[in-house]
Amino acid sequence: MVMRTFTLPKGEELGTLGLKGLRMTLSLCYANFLLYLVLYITGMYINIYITSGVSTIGIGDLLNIFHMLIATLNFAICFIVMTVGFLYGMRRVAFFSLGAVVSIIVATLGGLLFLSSGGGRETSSSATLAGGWIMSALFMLALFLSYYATLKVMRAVRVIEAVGGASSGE
Amino acid sequence: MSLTVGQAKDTGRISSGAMKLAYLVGLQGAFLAASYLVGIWLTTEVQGAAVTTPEVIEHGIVSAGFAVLTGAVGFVAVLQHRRGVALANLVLFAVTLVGGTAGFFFLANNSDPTVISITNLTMMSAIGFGMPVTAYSLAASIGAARGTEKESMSGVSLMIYMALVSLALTVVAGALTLSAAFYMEAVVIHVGFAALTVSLTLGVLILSVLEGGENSPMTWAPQRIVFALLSLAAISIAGADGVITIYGGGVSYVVVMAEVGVLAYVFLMFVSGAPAGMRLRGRA
Repeated sequence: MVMRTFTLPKGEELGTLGLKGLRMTLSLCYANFLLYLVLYITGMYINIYITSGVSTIGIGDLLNIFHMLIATLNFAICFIVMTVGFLYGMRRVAFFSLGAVVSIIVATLGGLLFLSSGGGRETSSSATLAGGWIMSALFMLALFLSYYATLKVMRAVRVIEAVGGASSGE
Repeated sequence: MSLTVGQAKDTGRISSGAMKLAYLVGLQGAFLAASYLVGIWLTTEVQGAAVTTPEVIEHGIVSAGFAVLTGAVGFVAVLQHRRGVALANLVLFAVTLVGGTAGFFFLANNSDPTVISITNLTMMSAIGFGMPVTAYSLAASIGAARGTEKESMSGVSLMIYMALVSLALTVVAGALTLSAAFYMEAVVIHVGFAALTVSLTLGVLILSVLEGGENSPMTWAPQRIVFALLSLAAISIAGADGVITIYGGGVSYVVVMAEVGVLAYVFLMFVSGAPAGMRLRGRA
């Protein structure tokens, strides 16, 4: 076997996953962005069309259940990417995803506060508003952190492809 | 920092991830046991569950942990080309999501008997399906790490999976006993599968002894035998507790039955992860 040695710039992180695995992880990251989009649309719909007036939303409303289901899937994917990062030596991917996981946990607590304190803006206390703000802000933070984790995975794919891994398909 | 790349197919190849996968599966099993126990506690001891009830939050945390770990195990198995483990865990992940959604519906209608029955059944199905899946995943990943993958399909391993499927059907039938319409049928099915579980666990013990010593009388698998014995003891105590529950016990006995039953699951997991043979005496 002919061996070639390449010197990588400082800060590059390829891990031990291999090109095929990295591509699968990247696909998972893209699917996660789709979930972020659905989460954003359902959250905004609830915010603008349901709870903007005197109406409230409860845990049993269909749209709320759908929103929570998407949030669960989103959390699961962030957790999976974090696990892959830790297991296969991609520290930055792991830590960015860990940040996203923690952000989603805090956002979930915000959602819990929103639901348990009334689930509406006009008819509920300031705790409901605080819950809503926590949910929105931490959602954005999780989105940014997932974006950076995805960039790192994408970068690793590009570097491995550039040094000759693409033809192997591994 | 340098990267060495061969011309052949060895770029970034996974070298030894099987043991890491086994640790993840172990953690998944621990979360399964915890979500089952907290769920049983919630069903029997808490009236009028709401989203802010501490037990509901605890159950939500551990069952979410179980769900995300299932997804993580499934995806890592895909990355390691373990098709069986990946498929089983990804299906289990979908089942846990259905169970979670049923839980959200339950919190909105916590006094409707139909909603209560559906929630109990879907959640118990997720737990029940998770029992053999986690045991198989553990046996396959530990086998891959040790280079003895065929052991995950050996006679004793198959007997463990059958015992866990039987245990799973026992807990699902147990959940159905909460429904007044199906109480009698559910009790009969529950007792029948419980008896089958005891028989299969006894079979695990016997096969552990026989398989461990098949190469020579001095090649035994003490870990498997000890864990199989403990599992048999746990499932027998759970059965005895069930008899006490029927003849005048209260709901506290149901919680104890679940606790001892989950111990049987944990010990069977240990049996599936334990080595099949251990040489007690060096070759002459």
